[in-house]
Amino acid sequence: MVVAVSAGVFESAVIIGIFTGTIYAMMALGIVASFRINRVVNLGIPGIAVFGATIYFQMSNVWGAPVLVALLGGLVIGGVLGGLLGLCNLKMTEWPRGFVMIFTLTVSLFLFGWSDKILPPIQVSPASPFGDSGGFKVALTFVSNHQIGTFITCIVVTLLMGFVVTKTRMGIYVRAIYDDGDSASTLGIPLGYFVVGVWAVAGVLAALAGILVSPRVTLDPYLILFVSIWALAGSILGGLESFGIAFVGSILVGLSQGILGAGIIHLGPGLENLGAIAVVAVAVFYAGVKRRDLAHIQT
Amino acid sequence: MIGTRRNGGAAVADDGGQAAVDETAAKARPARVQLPRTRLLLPAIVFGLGLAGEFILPTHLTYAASTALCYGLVGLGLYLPLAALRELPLNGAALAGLSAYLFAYHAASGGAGKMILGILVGVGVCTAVSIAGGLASLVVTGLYFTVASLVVQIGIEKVVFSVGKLTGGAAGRGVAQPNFTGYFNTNRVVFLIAGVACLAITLTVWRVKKTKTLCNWVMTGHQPEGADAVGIRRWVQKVVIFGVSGLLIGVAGVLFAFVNGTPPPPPQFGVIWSVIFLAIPIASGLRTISSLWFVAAIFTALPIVLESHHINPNLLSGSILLVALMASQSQDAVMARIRSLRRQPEAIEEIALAEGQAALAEIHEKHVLATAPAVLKEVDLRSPKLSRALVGTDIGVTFGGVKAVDGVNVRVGPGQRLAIVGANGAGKTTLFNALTGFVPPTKGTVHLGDLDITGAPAYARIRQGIGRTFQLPRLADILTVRQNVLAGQAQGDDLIPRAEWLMERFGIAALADIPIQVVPFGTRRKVEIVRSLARRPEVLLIDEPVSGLEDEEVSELLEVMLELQAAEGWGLLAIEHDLRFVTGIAEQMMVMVDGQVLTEGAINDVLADERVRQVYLGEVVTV
Repeated sequence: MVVAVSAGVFESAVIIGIFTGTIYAMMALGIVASFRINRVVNLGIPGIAVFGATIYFQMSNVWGAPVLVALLGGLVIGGVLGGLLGLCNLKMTEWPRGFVMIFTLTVSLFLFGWSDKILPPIQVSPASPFGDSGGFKVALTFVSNHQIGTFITCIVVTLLMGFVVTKTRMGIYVRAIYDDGDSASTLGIPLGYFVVGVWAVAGVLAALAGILVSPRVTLDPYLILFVSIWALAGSILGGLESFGIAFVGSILVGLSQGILGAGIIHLGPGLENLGAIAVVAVAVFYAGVKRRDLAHIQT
Repeated sequence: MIGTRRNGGAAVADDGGQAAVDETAAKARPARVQLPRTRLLLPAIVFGLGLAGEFILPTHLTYAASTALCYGLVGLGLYLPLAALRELPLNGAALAGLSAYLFAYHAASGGAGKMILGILVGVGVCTAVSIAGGLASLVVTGLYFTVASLVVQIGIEKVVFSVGKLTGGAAGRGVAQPNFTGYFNTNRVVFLIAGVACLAITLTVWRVKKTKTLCNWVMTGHQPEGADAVGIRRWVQKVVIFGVSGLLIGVAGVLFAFVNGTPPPPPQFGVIWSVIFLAIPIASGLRTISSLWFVAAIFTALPIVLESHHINPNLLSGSILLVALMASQSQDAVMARIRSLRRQPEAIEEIALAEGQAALAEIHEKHVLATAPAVLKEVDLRSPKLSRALVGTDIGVTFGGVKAVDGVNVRVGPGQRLAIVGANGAGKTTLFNALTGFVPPTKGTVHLGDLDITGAPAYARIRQGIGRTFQLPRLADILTVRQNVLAGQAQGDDLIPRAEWLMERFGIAALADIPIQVVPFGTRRKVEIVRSLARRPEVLLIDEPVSGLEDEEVSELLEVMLELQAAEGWGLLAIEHDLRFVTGIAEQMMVMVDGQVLTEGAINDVLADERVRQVYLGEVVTV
């Protein structure tokens, strides 16, 4: 193991890590949103992200539509797909949740396939909604307008989602359904509308994540699938329930990758993911044990 | 010991009387509910087709068939934790890859010794990682386990598979195959070797499924507290299940390398493949091993058949998964069986009732022990160790700031019958949980005779001689009545005939072969009591045994319990709200209010206490 820290390297690694984490956080928000309504881990998020970004790319880069129109197109498609997935969820109430989770992954595979059919057979990166140029240098790293825009968008969405869930009547309904769907139904809360609605919101967030992620990592389904797996890890830190902790957890995962990837702690080729994996493993165990303890207290 | 029992028990019938009783009982007993038995037709067809492939298929398709066997073996490995523990491991592909690369790493240099070393290292490491996963599942379960297994998959995929020295880089690392030409060429011989290995493994797993081991595995995964209550060491079961799972996946990994001649490249052991491998047991309906092989064959054949159509691999994988999921929901063997039985609920109720009455008639006619099979009479029914009392001293349990139980002393000796009553929330069940190890007491001690069991885990206390039931029966829904009763029972002694006999006595024998999910609630309570009694407990703790039962069923249960308790002499501690049952079953009574003992003593004295009356009328009473 080699430890070498030269001036500015650590700061750069932290900045890279934070922006990488922001990308994960965008995905994590969608995962948390859908889990908060019916306790299903939505692995359709990467598929919707890729497809939403594909539509955005097609509209902006191929059809020449203005960026805002293309953005709207991608988000609408994401919302519709998310809503449809929510509708499917309603039909699967008898299915074990693990199977529903695999079903959502199936949807991702289909959307990857359709994106492959739409996109040209080369690696493409759509234009950033925040512009492809501009930015400033911090330490050894150039921070682009796209990164700043993504970071601010992510914080705004996190705060907005947290506010809606904790402070509004709609949020109270969502929490009621999450705690006990049957009881919520007896209070006159329209369960179906809320499940479809929240999954549609998750779809919009996924598409937004895809649109903001793809200018950085290219529109490659497998890269975005891995982004979503790291995002899942980040959201697990908050027990899949808290938007705020999912955001922080994702940033932590990104930071660990940034620091190890920058060679500050050089472990050898291919091992730069070890830190992120360790963070994720700790997160999963922490969340799992916390859940078990809570269940015990409830008993 | 045939003839008379020690300690002044009632006389036991001689063997001549036994035959007459058996005959009468047989006449009175209703017909058993018939269920479809495991059919050998599908396995025979699947393996027949597989074997025929060796001679019929063109040589390149025998290679595909070998790959199908590898897929099936990974599926079989994942099937065990999925079916028995309801855990979804998403790391099958990484484990198979790990085994394949480790095998190839050692076997590449050729020679039988190196090859055996490669197999041992590959399969061994794969098994060890899987066992570690099993131990992790003691801490994190369900969704968190799935994500944890995904982390293992990503860890192996991103870290281990990136080590070129292990994977052999872009070209891979070749594995020596037997070199044959002619009709029985290398491909066919490799297929034959893989086929024989898979057949042997399948038969072994199939055989295990027929034993009581399956009941223990399912109980561990489906009803952890129920498993504890029958003395199953859950961690051992999990280690075994995941160990076997890792072993099978490891063998599959070795076969992957052997069949290909080179282990497939790392993307073939990626996360998507883990999901596809997991889809194999899911699509097979989780219960039939032969259909698992069938699904593996289809999963392999589809890409070959559709190759000429140039279907996008993601669309193809998605379609396969979707078909697997739909198939799993439409052909789940257990659910189909339950659905079919649910169509005849009246018949099941009727049988349960008639069976109960028949058992009761038998008790009226003959002393309960007279109906015991000969093998049980040879065992001294009052074992020498049946002289220990369960003693809880100054027991206290606190949840957060709430004192659920506060300084309670309780003692149940051999042959004693004590009832605990009190309003909801008085701390009765918490006291039970503290005595049996399901909740750690915050203060006080628990002894069984001279043995201090305060810190012992629940399963160890059960093994020491405590039996317990739960307010809501903790039975595995997918197991049958008999399988639930036999789970956790020791093999090879008289406990199994005893369990069968008790099922007769409690009137549940006619329903022995149907899944617990469809039996009436009262019957489930009886199943739990039988399960506890089958282990010959020294002290039996029963929690609200008659809540939800019809009057007739309460009387029936009371009679059977009293008869058996008098004959065998175990101590009885019962929680119950039904005063009719309490006065019928108990000699002593303890009343709890707000976690403390209000009063205790002989049942008539306690019932005469004005404060007890107030408790039952819902008036505020302070201890």
